[in-house]
Amino acid sequence: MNSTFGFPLFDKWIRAPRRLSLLLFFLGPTAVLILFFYFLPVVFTTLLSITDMNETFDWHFVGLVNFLKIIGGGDPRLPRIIANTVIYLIFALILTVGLGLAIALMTTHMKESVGIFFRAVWLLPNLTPPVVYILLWKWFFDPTRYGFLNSVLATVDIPSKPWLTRYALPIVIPVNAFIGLSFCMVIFTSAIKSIPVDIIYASRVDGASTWETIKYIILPLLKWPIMFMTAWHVLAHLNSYVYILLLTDGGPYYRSEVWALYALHRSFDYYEFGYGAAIAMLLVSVSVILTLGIWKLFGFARLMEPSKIEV
Amino acid sequence: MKAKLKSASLYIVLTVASIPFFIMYAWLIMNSFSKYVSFGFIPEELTLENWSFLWAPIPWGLEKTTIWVVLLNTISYAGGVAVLQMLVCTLAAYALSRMEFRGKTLILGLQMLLRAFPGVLLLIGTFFVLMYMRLLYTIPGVVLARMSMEIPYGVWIMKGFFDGVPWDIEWAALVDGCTRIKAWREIMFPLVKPGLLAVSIFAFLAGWEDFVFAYILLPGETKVLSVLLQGLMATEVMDYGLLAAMSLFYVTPALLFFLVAQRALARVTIAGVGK
Repeated sequence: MNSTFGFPLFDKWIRAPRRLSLLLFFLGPTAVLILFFYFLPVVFTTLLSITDMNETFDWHFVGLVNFLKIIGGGDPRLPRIIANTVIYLIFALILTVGLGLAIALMTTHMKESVGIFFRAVWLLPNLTPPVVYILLWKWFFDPTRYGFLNSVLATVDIPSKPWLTRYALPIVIPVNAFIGLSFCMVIFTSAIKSIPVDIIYASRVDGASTWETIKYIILPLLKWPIMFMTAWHVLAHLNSYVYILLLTDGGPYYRSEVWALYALHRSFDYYEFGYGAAIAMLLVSVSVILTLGIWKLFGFARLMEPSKIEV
Repeated sequence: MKAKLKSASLYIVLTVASIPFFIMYAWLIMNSFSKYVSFGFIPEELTLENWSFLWAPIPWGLEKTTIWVVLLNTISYAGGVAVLQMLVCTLAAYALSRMEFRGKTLILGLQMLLRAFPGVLLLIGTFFVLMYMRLLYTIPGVVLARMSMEIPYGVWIMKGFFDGVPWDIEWAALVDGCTRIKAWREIMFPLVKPGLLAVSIFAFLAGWEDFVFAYILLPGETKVLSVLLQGLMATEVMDYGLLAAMSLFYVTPALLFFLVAQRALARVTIAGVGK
């Protein structure tokens, strides 16, 4: 680069602080916000998890008591919640990735305009704010005759049922999965569309049926996006709680409560901040381990591009 | 013939699978204008009574508030998130895209790791951070907290836009005697406007649609629309007419904003620089 003062050595001295202030100008605000709203919360939650902080905000260090309570079976609700979380994770994952793939395949194998229409319909859950989306489902499964399902069943003389209390977990899973499903559908559709048509034509010429083309040509080429979406949604579903909070609030009696929601409930409904933080800490450890594994799988270095200007 | 049958079955399967969505969204519109709906979407006794919250106080024990106060709060929440996000992300993304410094890879990696952090963990900690900052239960507090959640995503998107601007343009500016900041402000900034628009729209929608942050950090049913709706939903007997009308009131601005902005986005992208 050209020299400001004509003396290269002098320049070097002048530039070092200028470069620093430049970096501060560009990165300062982000750094401050990340410090206050990621770093400090993590530090606070970590510290909270070894205290008995509760609604009095009068706290003492208690060591690993909270963690021992979780591991040692001091909380009779935990086995049910862990079982719920595992069931929820497995079935939500199958629905999200499987159904997302199925809809992407179906809509790309029909007339383009119709395909776009159906994709728009399946995108609706993602575009609707959570509160409104859940209102729709609450009405759908309403226990009285005002609910859609009950009003339809009433025409064939089946009495009203309290669906949301009787089948809480089986309802919560698909309702939540439809959100991730939209995302999968969009990604898979663009992946399918990016497959060169000559390959598809070649398989047709060779006499492959549509199903065989999908099985031997399209699916192997989608391996990468499928793996990525699966990994992504393991994390997303493990940490999801907003829709469950709105739909059943984990009820009735913890029957649809998952791990992340339990941490929230312990902290803000029962004000057991210490215990809630410990539960959240275990969740974050699992998430971080999974994330690191995913990075390794997908190669993080590829996302970086070296800069071409030096100040 | 067989192929036709096959594609017909495709349409049927998809239509049947999509029926619940059709019904639910049709119901939302129909029920907001009628006393009662049968089979989900056939309105009976058309009325505007459900929309009375627009000119009268909100029913169900919230007599002291009007919807307009809540709307104003929601707009300042979402708008605050959008404006802050725009400022913070362009600055950071420029440095991450165009400057070389130690720890850059670390910062970018950190941004991705931050995304993986469970919202619950951050929410519990943020509650205490805001409490010690004396910003708990205030709009600025919840704006800062919610906006920070969008930083990793916004920075990555903006970095992509800065990466897309040819180096020659910036080199030319620097050779002509621009400082780095001037080059950023006058050369780069106009070229990444489409990205900026996209990032701020998504940030605005994130704030507008947010429920959990407002629920925990800004509680009270008279604060933002999402929490007000949830409060009305959690009552024993649900007034579906009112809920449907209010939901439409809540969704429509967001949708309109999204559509208008998307058109603008398409136009700007076409007018922007090619590689």
